[in-house]
Amino acid sequence: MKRLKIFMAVILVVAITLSIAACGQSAKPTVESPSNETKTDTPKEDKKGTIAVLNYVSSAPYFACGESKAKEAGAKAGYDVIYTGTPNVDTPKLISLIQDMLQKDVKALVVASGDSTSVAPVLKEARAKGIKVVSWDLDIAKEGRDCYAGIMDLAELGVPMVEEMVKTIGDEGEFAIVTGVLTNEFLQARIKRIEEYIAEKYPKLKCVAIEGMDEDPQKAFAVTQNIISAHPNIKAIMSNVSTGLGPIGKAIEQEGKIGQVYATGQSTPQLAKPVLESGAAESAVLWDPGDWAAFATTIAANLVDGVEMPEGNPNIDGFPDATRQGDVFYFWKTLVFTKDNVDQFDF
Amino acid sequence: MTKLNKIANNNELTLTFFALLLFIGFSFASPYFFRLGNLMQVTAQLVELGLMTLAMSASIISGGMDLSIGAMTSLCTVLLATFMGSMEMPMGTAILMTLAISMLCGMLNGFLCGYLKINSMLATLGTQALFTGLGLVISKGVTIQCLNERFFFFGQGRIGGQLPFQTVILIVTAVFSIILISKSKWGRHVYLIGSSSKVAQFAGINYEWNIMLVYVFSAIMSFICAIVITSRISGGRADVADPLVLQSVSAAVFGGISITGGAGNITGAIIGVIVFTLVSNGMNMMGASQFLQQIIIGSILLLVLMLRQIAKKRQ
Repeated sequence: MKRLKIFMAVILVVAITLSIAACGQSAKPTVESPSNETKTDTPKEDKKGTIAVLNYVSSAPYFACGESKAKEAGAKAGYDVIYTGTPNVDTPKLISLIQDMLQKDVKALVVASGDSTSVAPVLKEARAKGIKVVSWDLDIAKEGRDCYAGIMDLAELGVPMVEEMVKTIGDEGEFAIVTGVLTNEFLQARIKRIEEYIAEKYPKLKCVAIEGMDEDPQKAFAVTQNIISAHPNIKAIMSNVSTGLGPIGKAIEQEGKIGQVYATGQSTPQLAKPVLESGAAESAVLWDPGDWAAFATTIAANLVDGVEMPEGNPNIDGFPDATRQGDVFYFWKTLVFTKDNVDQFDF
Repeated sequence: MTKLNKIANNNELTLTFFALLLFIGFSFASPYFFRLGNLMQVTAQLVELGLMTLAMSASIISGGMDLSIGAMTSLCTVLLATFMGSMEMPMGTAILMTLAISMLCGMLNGFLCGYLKINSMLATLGTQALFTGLGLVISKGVTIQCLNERFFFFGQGRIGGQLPFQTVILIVTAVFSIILISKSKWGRHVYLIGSSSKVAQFAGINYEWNIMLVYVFSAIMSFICAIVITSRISGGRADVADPLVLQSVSAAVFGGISITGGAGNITGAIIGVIVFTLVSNGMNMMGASQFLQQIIIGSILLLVLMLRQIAKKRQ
């Protein structure tokens, strides 16, 4: 009889699961969508269909903050947007998620993947079914996407990061780079460009260490402490990911090195704010991930609708400076945050 | 009522019933769930976690835990992609060489845990770092592309245009593992070692050799998983399978395998994988967020463990 009770409890668990899931659906707009759109499982009648915007670390504020603008861009073009991703870097799960979206009859996929090739086979399968695919963040192998939506040439993104660092520490001395997951191609390509640019323009700057933080702020903190101990003459520690500058700055504060060592590189403004205010960093570089997601979503909608996007200026709604060269679109907009302007940004 | 009691007394039947309820629930909750295409997709999504759970279950039943299976699988994906990519080896040679290397990795784990009797979690934590490091050195930290198109059939091929070939791989491997661990003499020895290694040794069981075989078995399962992943992503990466390690522990424990070893069986673990995959797919079909999925999977796991513990105490 006791066992029977347990058996019945298991049934209860299933009921709870489905109820929570159902609640999750209705509660989602308040939790995840600041735009207060009503999210439904099937496309609304007045909408042309659904576009899925996917990323590979949905728990990172960098990706989380793109949701509202992506949804706004989709709504403007007449589409519902599912904005989702794997909570942590998990390629097999990301592939499963893409496959699940295909089963939901989406019209287009807008995909950010941690590497350029792993998702290409499943996206190739999607394209064969007539689904439009746009890559953003890191570009994906050509056979897996119709086009790439970027900010500017990927390799060039390191240049403003170096220039901002030079403004802070001058054009000579030692610095280190703290990057995300060591296997991320996007980040590696940028490091390579940073090294090339420095060798060419600032030969007296020397990169003494490149360390991975695995998207873990605690690890970035520890790695920074190690770098400061191992390289007493270091002048700057550059974050190559948007979650690194904050903990790097905190470690500099902890080590009592404010004014001697600076955190530089990328950060979202809200994560950078405390260290900009403490003086552990003077500036942080980034773009608006929301703009990026919106740019990619608009292009996806245009592809589905068959809107012409000419070479040169492709006339992307909301992005007047956008350019197109073949199947690559750029919107050319980076931001520099300082303690004076950081409060103007809410992500 | 007696029949219901009988069902409730059987862990696998209870879990199967649980999976069935989820299946029916999701079929009603989402119009996209109960479609042939999606159901075939679910069977394909089971495979990688299923194979990793087989690898993990064997080590847990033996009283240990192989934390290196994710790194081993990732290393194998890098090796397969390198052999068939830049080294342009024939498919058969690449597969056999990777199998041999994975077995060597398993033997290293077996030697450390069986012969040197180092705590399995510590030993495999060390080998995990070693295998990841090797993968990173070989791949230079990037994804290596596998260029052999015939090889893609393992993870992308469909029999009759519907049934994913990887599902067949899981079914064959799972049946083989169930027979090997539940029915063979070696399997019985592993259970006894898991219950009490001292009693097993008094019973004349060769502890060292049997533990060695457990870790070689885990390595072979990791290798099969690597074949599926490498084919599915057309390449290899040094950290691609890392997230599957803890998921496989959860699935095994959810399926009824005792974390202290010596109890539970592979069938339950596979049903555990089915439940996890159904929840993930079903909730995606319902449009629920990924964060919510984590909460629900965690809650289901905790509830089942609590219910089991309560039942155990009352007994």
